[in-house]
Amino acid sequence: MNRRLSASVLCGAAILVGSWSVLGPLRNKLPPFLGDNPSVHVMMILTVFLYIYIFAMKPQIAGKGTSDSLKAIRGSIIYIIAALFIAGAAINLLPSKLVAEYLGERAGFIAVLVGVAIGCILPACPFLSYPIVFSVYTLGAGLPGVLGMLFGSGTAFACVLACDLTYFNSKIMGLRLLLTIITALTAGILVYIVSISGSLI
Amino acid sequence: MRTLEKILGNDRSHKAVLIVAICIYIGTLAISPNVAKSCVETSFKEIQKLIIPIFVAMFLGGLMKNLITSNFVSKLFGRSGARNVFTAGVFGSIIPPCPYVAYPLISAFKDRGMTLPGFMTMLITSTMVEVPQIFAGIAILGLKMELTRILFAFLASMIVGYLFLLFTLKMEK
Repeated sequence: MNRRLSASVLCGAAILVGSWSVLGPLRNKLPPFLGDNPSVHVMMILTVFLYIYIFAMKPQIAGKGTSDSLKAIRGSIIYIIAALFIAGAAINLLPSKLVAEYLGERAGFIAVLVGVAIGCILPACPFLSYPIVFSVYTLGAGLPGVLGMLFGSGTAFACVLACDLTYFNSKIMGLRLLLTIITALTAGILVYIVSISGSLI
Repeated sequence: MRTLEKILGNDRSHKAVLIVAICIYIGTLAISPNVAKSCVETSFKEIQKLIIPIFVAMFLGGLMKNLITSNFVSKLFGRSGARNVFTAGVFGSIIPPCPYVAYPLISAFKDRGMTLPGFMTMLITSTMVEVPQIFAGIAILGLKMELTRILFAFLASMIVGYLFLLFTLKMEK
């Protein structure tokens, strides 16, 4: 078991290091539809390798993974595109001055509060909420504000609340909501403390 | 009609995103067609930049969902005392983030007699930490910001989880 685990870790590390060393010189030379983030390119290579490996070793799991992924894509593609359109609109419509005032580095702790509050009403699905958060980041929001949005993301979104009520009850929903908002604020405060010390990203 | 149902699904909250997008664009088009045009152009640029990484992330997420099982996780960690909060936090962090998938799993743990602090920590981390979102996060936000998000979200979840454990122990006394 240990041998298998260490072999997997070594293989993973080799793929990561190898893909990074291959992709490094290609940086900024890849077509735009592949994105501009090297970690994304590494993830793409990792996905291809992982699928090939799992198809060879456990074809059933790979088949199930593929069908699950296709189902997820089919079920959310229209909403992902809608979210990207909202992100595009946010970039053009939100005044960067306003974003900088409430979510910028100078907003201080207020940015965390505003970020968590906005995040709470964003969709729970990362493919829908992250493009919107990222568009706010490109407009000049600071890290505490952006991470506050990410921490709060989906906390009070309709589908999460509906699941709270479906699987549990209103008491658990209330407690979950309270504790999650406290957690998001705690995380935001920690980020704020670290960022004012100047050692974050 | 069935194809449309398959594409749109049954999730009303997701439909809200579509309605909001349509409303924003109709409103912007009515007030300032030029701004609406530049919004569409920016959106197409965003789609061009992000759609392939998003698809890849969804494929990787789909595979991970099938590779990591709850048995594997419960074998890996113990389930007693304060360690229960940590175990629950770790488990909550790595289960699929979608509540429709995560909640039945969490509910199963609750039914098997998991403690309230452990159960609440699992709920918090499943909503906040969401390690399977790492692929979406890397694809859209980048590696550094995604790792920072996971690190601080997990740290804060553990702090709140342990505080809640202390609170419940105090209430029991």
